Amino acid sequence: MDFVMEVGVEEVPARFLPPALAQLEEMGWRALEEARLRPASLSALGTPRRLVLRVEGLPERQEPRVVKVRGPSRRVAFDEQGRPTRAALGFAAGQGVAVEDLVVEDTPGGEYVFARRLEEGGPAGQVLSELMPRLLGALEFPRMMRWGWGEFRFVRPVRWILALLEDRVVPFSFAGVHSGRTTRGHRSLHPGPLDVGHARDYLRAVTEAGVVLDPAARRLQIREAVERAAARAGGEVLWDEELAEEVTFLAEHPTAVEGRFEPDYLSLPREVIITVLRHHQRFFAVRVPGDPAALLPAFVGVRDGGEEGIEIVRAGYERVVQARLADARFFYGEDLKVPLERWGESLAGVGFLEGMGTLQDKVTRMEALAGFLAYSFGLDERLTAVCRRAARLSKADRATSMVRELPELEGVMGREYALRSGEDPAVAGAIRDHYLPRFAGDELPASLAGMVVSLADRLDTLVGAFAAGLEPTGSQDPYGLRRAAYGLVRILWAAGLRLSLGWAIEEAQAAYRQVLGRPELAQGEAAERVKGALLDFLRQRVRNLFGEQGIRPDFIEAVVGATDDVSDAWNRARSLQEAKDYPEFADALAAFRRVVTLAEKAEDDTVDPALLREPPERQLWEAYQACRPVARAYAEAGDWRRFLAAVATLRPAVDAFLDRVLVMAPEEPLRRNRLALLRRLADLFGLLGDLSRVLVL
Amino acid sequence: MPERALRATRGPGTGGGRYLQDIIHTLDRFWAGQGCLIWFPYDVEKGAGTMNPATFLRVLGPEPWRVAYVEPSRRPADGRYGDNPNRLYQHLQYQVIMKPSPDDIQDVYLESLEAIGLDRRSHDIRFVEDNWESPTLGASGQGWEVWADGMEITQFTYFQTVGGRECRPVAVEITYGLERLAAYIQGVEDIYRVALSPQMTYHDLFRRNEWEQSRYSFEVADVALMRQLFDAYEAEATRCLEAGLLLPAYDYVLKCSHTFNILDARGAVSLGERTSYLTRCRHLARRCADLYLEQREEAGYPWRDRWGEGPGAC
Repeated sequence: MDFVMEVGVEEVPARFLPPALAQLEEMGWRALEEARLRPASLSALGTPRRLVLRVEGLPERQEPRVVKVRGPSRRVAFDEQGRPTRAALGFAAGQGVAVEDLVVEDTPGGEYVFARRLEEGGPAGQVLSELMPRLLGALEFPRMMRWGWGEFRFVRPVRWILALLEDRVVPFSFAGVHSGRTTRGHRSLHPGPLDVGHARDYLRAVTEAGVVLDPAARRLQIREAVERAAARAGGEVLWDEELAEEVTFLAEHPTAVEGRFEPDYLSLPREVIITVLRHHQRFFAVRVPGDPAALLPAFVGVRDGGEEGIEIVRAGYERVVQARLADARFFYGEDLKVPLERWGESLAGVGFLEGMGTLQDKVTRMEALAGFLAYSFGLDERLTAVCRRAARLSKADRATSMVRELPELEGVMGREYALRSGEDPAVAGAIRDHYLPRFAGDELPASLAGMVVSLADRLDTLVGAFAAGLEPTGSQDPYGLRRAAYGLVRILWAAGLRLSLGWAIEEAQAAYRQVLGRPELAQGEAAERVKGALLDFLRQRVRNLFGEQGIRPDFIEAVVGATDDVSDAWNRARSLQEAKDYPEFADALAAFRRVVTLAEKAEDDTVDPALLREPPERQLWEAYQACRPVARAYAEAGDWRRFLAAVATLRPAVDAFLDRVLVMAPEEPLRRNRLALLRRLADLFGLLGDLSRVLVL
Repeated sequence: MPERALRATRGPGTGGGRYLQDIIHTLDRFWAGQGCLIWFPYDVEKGAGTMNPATFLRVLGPEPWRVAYVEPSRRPADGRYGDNPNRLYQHLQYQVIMKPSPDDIQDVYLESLEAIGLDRRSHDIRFVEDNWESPTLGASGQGWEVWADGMEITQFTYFQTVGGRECRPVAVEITYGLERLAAYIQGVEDIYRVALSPQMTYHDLFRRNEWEQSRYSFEVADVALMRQLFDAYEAEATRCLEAGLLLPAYDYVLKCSHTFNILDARGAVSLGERTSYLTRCRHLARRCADLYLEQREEAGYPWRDRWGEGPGAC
């Protein structure tokens, strides 16, 4: 049997729709399976005005099932002779089974009588009319609202519900609306109500009424229509996946409309034009064919409706685009009247995190932090000055009219205005780049200065947010701190920059103390707690990053606590990862692990050579003394590959020692001395990381 | 008769009137037909039609209410000395309140657009998510901005809370931006070329006002005096509230809000102060809302059934 349910709503925000349809599909499957009504196929489709569940091949009834009902306890159900009592008879009659068919089972609460009976499944229609309102009520949206008399909540007001099983209405009510067989067509193409006779006619009925129900089909249609429209305008569309996704959920009947604007506006920066079109109007930009950098003075919009009046719509679109570009040109001109630095001065009036000063305070801290980072990375004086200057100007564009109007242009305008203000191009580049990476997989800053400013920005935000008690909990991360931390770790890793995160955090805390005049942000218990929590938080991002790079999880655990330097941790992890492919490695690891385990019993690490009686222990001691300075030198140089090779030379001596010397000797001084020797070895191995975490596979 | 005004009347509009005053008349007739009381602007400065007591107070409580009126709204920080064709110190809103919101309200609204010449088949009419919040009024709502061929012409909002109180029943607020709508219907790009009547343009009537008010708000307003006025208005509002005088109290709340807006436009409000000023306004607005609810309850909700019967009943 076929079933279709359509919930007619007032326009649902585009961003809510894809997750809502995914929920509907998943929860629909689950609900039907749990209700023993497994269909042949099920899909959720929708537009801004309707959420639709289509089900095919539904059984007529639920599958039958055996139900077991608990009755009275055995003592109550049967008398001493084992004859059923009135209680048993009554229970059996109530369950519709013969009293002989009752069974006794042991339960945690004692022995009880049970009735088993075959329950026939209910008819699908009846089950659906109970299931559907519950399913709809369980849908979650980021925001819900009330309307009318205010008794119901949903993402937007519910205006009609169609629910048909074959040719019959499945009766239920949700959000005050009763289900029926009436739908509505497209708002302008077929505004009236429309009756549907049979579930399988539904799709055709709404399609004929101008609704492209399937988002995938709509998207394809948009892509093709937009490309054709761009071609009519003499160019190629600048395709934008994110915009296409939004547009797909803003129309029931998409029709592409191309338009033009005055070529003069092409003197605006390219990103400004693209952003004005996208942000304000959800329009696509059009570029010169074969030249990705050059735009045409044209755009393509997607209308919700047909061809009727398309010239009016085009004229309207062109007028609005023209006005928006005129605004942008006005802002651009205003912004260029004073140098970027002057815009930066008004950041004193813009708040940063609650209680953490203004954006101007933030760039002051970032400048200090950028200086520290440049010094840590050994940058020369000129580059250090570039980093500091870029940090100082990094947020200045936020005060400009263009960025206040179009926040997604932050950084882009900063670079543009910096260049126009005569700043060093390296500074301008770093201003733009410091927002990178914006998300996992995004590009990284192109220059070292961009990285330094990006790191300073992230460190400052993280320290401030943790100090203000805003660390993310659960899936909530309103300040994007996970993303900020991940980007920080990724930059250090990708560029191989050496930095102690602990020091960097302390430095950032010191900047807070200095700029805000609040010593407690850098000293004392609370500051220590912030540092510890932030280190843990960053360590978790290191785990994620290394995991994505294919490092074995036990290696990650071994190294992640051994250093607070991302690049160093990476070198350690990679040396382990590379070594694992050598056959000797597993053996060596097994030996090291035994050493580390035994060494836990050691009370100290003072080895008395005079007490080393057996040849293997003397040999091990000598081998250790020979190896130690070499291995330590490699460790200090961060050359973990050579370090591993060096300690691996100890393996024959370790094996011989463990095979032939009784560590837990009955004589206390001997035992103590041998354990101390093992402790020295374990400490040497431990320079690499916590080898007890490594699994011997 | 200025030539400009005559030229301005050629546009894409088809039905209804084309002068701004015709649009107002058409909307009045249309919404009166929907059972709305045709009401007036309120005579105290305010930033939006929402602050007219016919909205702010009447959307509270259980009594149905339907009203429509023009509201000249002042936003000192949006003044542009009459230079920018899209930003104004004062703009004209056409405000409709339907409480509770009728089931077919979107269709009714689309019919109102048709009445003024924007027919849904030959235009691209869209409902684009836009939720609304007013920190001064302790109010929030959900809804859309309505676009006609890419241009925002209306705010369409279901009030969820007002004065910190949950709205139940829920009123829907429909706010048409009259200048933009008229500019579009008249086919002019510059708001100042909108014709209000065969004789008068927006330029004639408001350009000087835009310049003077902008200059006043940005350059001339006496900051020290405005601060004193805010404190005094706040004190007076509080005194009125204590005397159980709702409407005089509310007038002073509106004055507080407008005085704050002038201070803000003047660049005299720091970040911390902003929060504190807004909190003070919101606190007063809440007390007014509470007092209104008390008064209506005491009166036994006399308007409870006024829209309960006959055509257009909800």
